[in-house]
Amino acid sequence: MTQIDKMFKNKLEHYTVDIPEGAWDNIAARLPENPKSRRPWWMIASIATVILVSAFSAWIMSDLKPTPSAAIVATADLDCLQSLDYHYVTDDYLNNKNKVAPDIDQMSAQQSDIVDKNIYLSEVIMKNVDVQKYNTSSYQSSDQISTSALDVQAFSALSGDKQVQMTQLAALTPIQSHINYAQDVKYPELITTSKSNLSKMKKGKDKDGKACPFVFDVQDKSVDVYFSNDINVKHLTANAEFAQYKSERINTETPIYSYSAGIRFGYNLSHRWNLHTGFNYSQINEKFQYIDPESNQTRIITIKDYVYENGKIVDSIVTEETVLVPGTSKMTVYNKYRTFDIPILARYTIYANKYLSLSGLTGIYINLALKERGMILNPDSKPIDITAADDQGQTIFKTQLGISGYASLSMAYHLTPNIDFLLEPNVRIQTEAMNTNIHPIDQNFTTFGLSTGLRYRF
Amino acid sequence: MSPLIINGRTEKELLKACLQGDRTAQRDIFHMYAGKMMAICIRYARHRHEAEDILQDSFVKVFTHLCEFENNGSFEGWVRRIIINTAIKINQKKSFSHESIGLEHIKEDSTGPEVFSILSEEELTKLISELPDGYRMVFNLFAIEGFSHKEISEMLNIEESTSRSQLMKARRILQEKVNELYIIAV
Repeated sequence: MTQIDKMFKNKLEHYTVDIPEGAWDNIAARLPENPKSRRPWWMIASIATVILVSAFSAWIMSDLKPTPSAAIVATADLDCLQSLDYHYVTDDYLNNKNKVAPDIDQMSAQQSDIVDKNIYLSEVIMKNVDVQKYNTSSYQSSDQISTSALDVQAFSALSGDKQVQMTQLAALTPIQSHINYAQDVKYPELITTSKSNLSKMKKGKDKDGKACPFVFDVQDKSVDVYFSNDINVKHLTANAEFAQYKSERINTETPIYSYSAGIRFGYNLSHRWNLHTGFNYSQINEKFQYIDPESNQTRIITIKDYVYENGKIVDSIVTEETVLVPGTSKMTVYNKYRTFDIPILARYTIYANKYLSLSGLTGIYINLALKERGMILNPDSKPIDITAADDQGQTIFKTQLGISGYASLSMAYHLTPNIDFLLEPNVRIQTEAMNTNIHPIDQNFTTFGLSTGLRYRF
Repeated sequence: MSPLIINGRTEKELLKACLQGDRTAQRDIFHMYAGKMMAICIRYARHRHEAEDILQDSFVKVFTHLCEFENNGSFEGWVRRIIINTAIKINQKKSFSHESIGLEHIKEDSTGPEVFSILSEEELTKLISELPDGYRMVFNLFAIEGFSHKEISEMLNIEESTSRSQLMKARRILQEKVNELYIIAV
């Protein structure tokens, strides 16, 4: 630092000047009304998501409340369960069927069959309906069979004219009820088998300790967290009148790396069909590059004329001249289109084994809001801010995007019995234009993404 | 040193209120620093209108990004840095390649403190403002703000050698102008 630097620093470091008039008013006009004003949007979106997910869950659960008709549904499911390789409870009871039947030697063949069917029926109802307060209790004799009140009609139909005692018992979990049942009927071998297999069932593992691909009766809910790396294809549609403008926009706007992320809650409708909903955030990025060939700069030139007297400067006359300097300016702006959506998706499991499953996922994204930021060219080929409204308060882009279509192929690798690693190539198509009617070119995107995430089944 | 109190509130209290969108607190904070910051803006700008733009853009940034201010440093230093960054950005956006001036003939010699003692801050600020864009930025950043050539090269996206040569040329121009003013004044 030289002396001249120090002199300038010392003189100017704490120099203060008058504030220009109206400066604060201009700043205040550009400040957001209140930082709190941004909150309602997020609050509304969050509350809407919670309400939607809660309503969806409630709807699913209400459909599965224990009603007499549910028993019929459960009977139908029994066939389905028996057809699966990994249904432990059914396997368990099927395996023990022969052990139970010979000990009830007072019962007729028909009665024995009735008892077995009733056991299956009760179990299926308990697991599928998620009712934990019904249980087959104890056999008092060959003619005294206790069962849940739920099974009255179905069981009565099966038992014919045999005397049956129906008893409703206190609340028990399904697993407790299995064990109690086995204890009550006093078959030690059944207790041993039940406890070990039920323990496995609870953990969602088969006899080899492998994760089960179709454990829908135990793990019927799931939550997915995902992040998707996206690329976008931009579609601009205009009539012939604006073909030149469209061409200019294509040349100045280039889609670049984008991403989306979200959370999905899933519910198993059957062993292959699942419903998912949640919250998704997507950000489409693009680069806007514009070169203005006629960017002129106004420069004020100060000319000093010195007045000499005897070879010395005694005075000076200062005049100012304004000159327009032609130049070129290059503008680069990174545009962002952010969408906040609620996905409603159906997933169909195409294939599953002990290690992974392959599903097709399709559905819609209901857009809650569209936010954009950046610049584009206007029809006069001048860059304009897409965030700001025009003189009439209208913006180029909509505040809501409507509905988009979504499809993906979902591969889930079972890391643990409860956790899957997800890999989903996906495509999302905006069905509606992002812009309002005031803009002559319709704009929408098709997004191709590769999503990775985790699924927790519980 | 006792904290500065404006309208019964300390800087810390005002900043807390600013974070909650209190417009009065924002105005008080603005008036607390605006005079000093405007002087900085004038040094970096080509003319007064540009200085006003820098000041306004910077304070909008200050209030919209206030939540990012960490209390472990001085608020004035943070605002000052925003002003400088804004000035650099505006300068880069409007940069023109019309800056070469034949100044090699001017010799760099010493200028005594007595010269500066009779020149006002306004005159010195005007001298800096009249420098070509690149020289003005480098001189301000190096001589007044105390950044190194390496830091300046990163901030302005130029070579370190360019920063050095522009500083040297800026000094020569300033020296000549200071001498001229001094001659007139005496």
